[in-house]
Amino acid sequence: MKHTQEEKLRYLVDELGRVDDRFLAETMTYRSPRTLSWKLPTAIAASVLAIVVSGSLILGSIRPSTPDVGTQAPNTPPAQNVPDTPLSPPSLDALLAESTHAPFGTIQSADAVNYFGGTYLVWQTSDSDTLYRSRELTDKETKRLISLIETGTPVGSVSPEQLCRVWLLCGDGTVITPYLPNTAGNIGMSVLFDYEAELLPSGELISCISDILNNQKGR
Amino acid sequence: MEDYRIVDLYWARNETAITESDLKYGKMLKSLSYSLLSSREDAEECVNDTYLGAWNAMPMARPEFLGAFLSKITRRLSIDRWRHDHREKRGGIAAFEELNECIPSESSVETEYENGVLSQHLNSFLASLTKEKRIIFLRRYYFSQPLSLIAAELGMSEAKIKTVLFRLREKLREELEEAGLL
Repeated sequence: MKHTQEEKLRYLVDELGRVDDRFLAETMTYRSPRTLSWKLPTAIAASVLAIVVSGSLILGSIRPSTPDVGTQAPNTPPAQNVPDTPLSPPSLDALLAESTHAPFGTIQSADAVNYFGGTYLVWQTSDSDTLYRSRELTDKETKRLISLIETGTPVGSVSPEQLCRVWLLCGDGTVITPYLPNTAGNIGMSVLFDYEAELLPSGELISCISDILNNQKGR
Repeated sequence: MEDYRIVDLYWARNETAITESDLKYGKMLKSLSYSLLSSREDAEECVNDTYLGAWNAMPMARPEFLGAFLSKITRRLSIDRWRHDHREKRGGIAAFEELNECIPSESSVETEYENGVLSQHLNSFLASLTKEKRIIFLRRYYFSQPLSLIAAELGMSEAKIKTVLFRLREKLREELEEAGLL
C-alpha cells in the first residue's frame, strides 16, 4: 500500500522513539564545554591551585617547637621525635591540574579519543578543552584503581566544584570515573561523559594515580 | 540515587521508586511532555501515567538507563495524547514538521511499515554523527526542545543550530532514500 506523507512522518516520529537508550542517556547528561558552570577563568583556577599546593607545603613545614606546658614539668627539655602534623594529601584536582605537562600526550578533541586502545586515564582542566592522557596502565594498576574507587567518601547532596574532570578508559569501550561509584548506571560507552561528583576520591586512590603519573615506565 | 537502585525499588515493588524517579527525572519528563502538549496539566498527567507505566513494566524490564526508559514512555504517551486531541486539525508539532524534509519526495515504497526497522537505521545514522550533532538532533527531534533552548544550553547561536539541523535532515533524507525505507 502506498503511504501518504502524513503516514510517513508519523512512522518516522514513532521510530525516533525507539532510538538506543545510550544515545538518550548521553543527551540527557551532556553539558557543553562552552557552558559548563564548573569551568573557572584561568586566573581564578590558577589562584585556587596555588592556595591548595602552598597550603599543603606550609602545613608540612610547621613543626611544634614548644612542649605542652600543661602536662610536662618545668624545665623539661622539649619532647624528642614529635611527629609532624599529618599533611592532607593533595586533592585529585590539584594533582591532575599540575600534571598537564605529562609527557604522555594530549588528545586534540573528544572525537579523537581511542576507547579501544588499552587502559589509560584521560583528564581535562576547567579552563581548557585540551584532553590529557596518561601512559597505558598495567592490568595490576587497572584492577587496583578500580577497586580503590569504592573507597571514596560520598559527597552528600551538594557536589563540590571541580577543577578537573577525569575518566578511566578501560580499553573495551567502557569509561568510568573515580568521582562516581562504579555501578552500571555510571559506565559510559565510548564517551567522555559529563558528571557531578558523588564521591571524594580517597587518599589511597590519589596516591595510586600519582604513582601512575610519576612512573613513566609502566608496561 | 543511582538508576540501578531505583530499578531495584521497582522490582521490590517499593513505592519509593516513584518518588525517587520523580526526584531524579521528573523535571526532564515534564519538560519533554510540555514541549509536545503545551499544557502543564496535561504534561503532569502524562508524567504521572509514565510512572504507572514504569511500575507495570517492571519487574520484567530492567532498564540500564532509567531516564531513557522513562522518557520513552512519556514521549509515547504525550504524542498519543497530542494526536488524539488534534485528530480533527491540520498541522503538527513544529519540530516534527521539520522532519518532513527527511522523507524522500519521490518515494514509492509500498511495504508495510514494521516497528523497529526504521529505528535500526536511525541508530546507525545517529552513531555516525559526532556527539554534539547527535545531541542537537535528539534534543530537537526526540525531546522536541525549542531552538533557543538548545542554543543556550550548548553555547551556540540559534543560527548555528538551524544550520546543523538542516544539514542533518539532508543527510538523513539521503540515507533513507538509499535504504528505500520511506
